[in-house]
Amino acid sequence: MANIITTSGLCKQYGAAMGVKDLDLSVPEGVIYGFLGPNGAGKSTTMKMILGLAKPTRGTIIVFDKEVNRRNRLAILKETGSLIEAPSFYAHLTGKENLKIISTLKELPDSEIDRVLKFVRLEDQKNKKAGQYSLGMKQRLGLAGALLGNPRLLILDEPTNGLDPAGIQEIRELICSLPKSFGITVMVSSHLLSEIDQMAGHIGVISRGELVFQDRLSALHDRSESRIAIRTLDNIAAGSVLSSQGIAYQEQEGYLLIPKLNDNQLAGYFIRFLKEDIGVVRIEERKKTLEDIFLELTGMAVKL
Amino acid sequence: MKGIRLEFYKLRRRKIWVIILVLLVVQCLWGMWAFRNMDAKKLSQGYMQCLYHFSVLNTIMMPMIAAITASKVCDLEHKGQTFKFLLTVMPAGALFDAKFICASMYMVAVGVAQTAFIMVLGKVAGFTETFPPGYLLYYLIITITVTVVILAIQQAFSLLFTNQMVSFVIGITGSFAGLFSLFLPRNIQRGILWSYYGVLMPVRMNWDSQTRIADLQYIPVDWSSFWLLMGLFAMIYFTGRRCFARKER
Repeated sequence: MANIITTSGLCKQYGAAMGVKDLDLSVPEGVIYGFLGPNGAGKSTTMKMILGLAKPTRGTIIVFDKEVNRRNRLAILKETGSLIEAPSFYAHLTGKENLKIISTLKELPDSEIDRVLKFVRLEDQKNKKAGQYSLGMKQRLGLAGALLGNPRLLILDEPTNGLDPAGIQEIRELICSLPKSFGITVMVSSHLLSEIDQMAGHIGVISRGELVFQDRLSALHDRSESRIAIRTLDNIAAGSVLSSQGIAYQEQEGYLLIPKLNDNQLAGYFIRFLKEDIGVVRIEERKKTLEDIFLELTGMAVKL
Repeated sequence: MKGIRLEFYKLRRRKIWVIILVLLVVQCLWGMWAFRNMDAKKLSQGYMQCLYHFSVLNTIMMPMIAAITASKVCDLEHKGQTFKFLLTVMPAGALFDAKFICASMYMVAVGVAQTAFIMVLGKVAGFTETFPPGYLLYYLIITITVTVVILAIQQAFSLLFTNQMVSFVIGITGSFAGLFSLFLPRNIQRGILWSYYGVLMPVRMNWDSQTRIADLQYIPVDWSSFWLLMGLFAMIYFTGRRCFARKER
């Protein structure tokens, strides 16, 4: 799959501190790419650099197979929509008038305004001043503005920030429908793992300005297979029994962790333990959460 | 043109002209106060009196009008956090230019309204001085030019600082600096941007200390000061534009 965004050794320095350090992003075309990281990790800075709103200290950014520089930036961004941090709008103008400004700048027909208003379900509120919109409606207006002209790439920075659960679900549904409905590649950032888990197909995790993981989301889920945790009165003897049967185990916090077994196999080992006078006091099935996996992958690098 | 048209579109319902009109009316009423008791001698120098008094009043009022206009035109972008979006679809320099031209249109309108008011006042008050179209045109050009240069510095600060108090303080400080500089030597006046209404005014007052009579007379255009002002404008405009374009969002 071809990449729509590629960054190589991207750095941004603020004084002595590195806001973003040697970032090598690869965003494949036609997917929702979740850009995950705690607050202050460098997500917004990275997105701003891709959009040319901040100047990289070092490194290159390639969008649509072209290296972005000061001269070609706007030509490349013609096929890009964005929503960075809070939605941008003129509070004294109506929703439709706000979109009119963007569509005029992008030289689009008025029919395009009606199309995006319908898509974000704001057509009934289009003549209301944007300042009177709820936060959810403002976010949808921002999304509508980003979608004007049906861009190939959409860059959304924390689009659900500050929304109530219903608003989050609404925005999430809209974002999830974009690749299928319009063939748009979406790069969406969040500090909430659960949110990215529900939206993205690919994921990049940034911590303290550094990319600590990047792959398909399924690659993470593959690591979250179930394991059986057994606690006995004599874990050393129990470990010997398991080893003699060729079962790999790991000792952790007083438990022996073994791969998931079927019920008959597990019952067999349980009987063996009893025959060896090993008292079994706990048997639990454990499934690692994505957060556990992140901590495993990054050590303490990611605290979400 | 598209950018300029959009700037006017953005100002819908902002009623920017209301505050400009109020300040203009205040200035005209203030100017009329100086003509409440006109004798034959004052009537014979009516237009000169007008051009002199309005130039002095411009030193006080026009920087405030420029500061408020620039602030109104720029503040809506700060409030709406729209730079992050706008600058992905248009160059920062083009946005700066469009805002400047849009705000300058209001300054031109104020200058024209002032000049028209002087002409009407001349007819109504019955000035006996011969109507001086050349000097009125010169006054109009100078008023607009100086105001537009002040507008450039106001706009730069209004765009660079989210807090519009910075811009207002500069406007008010400049206004007072310009007024007090009228009592200072000409070379010092030429170093203060806000004093150019006085430096370039087409009329001079002659004070005869023996007869204790003040007399007004037209003076030739001070081209050296005019070109110095143009140099200041170029410096202010392009520095402001560059700073705005280089600022990260």
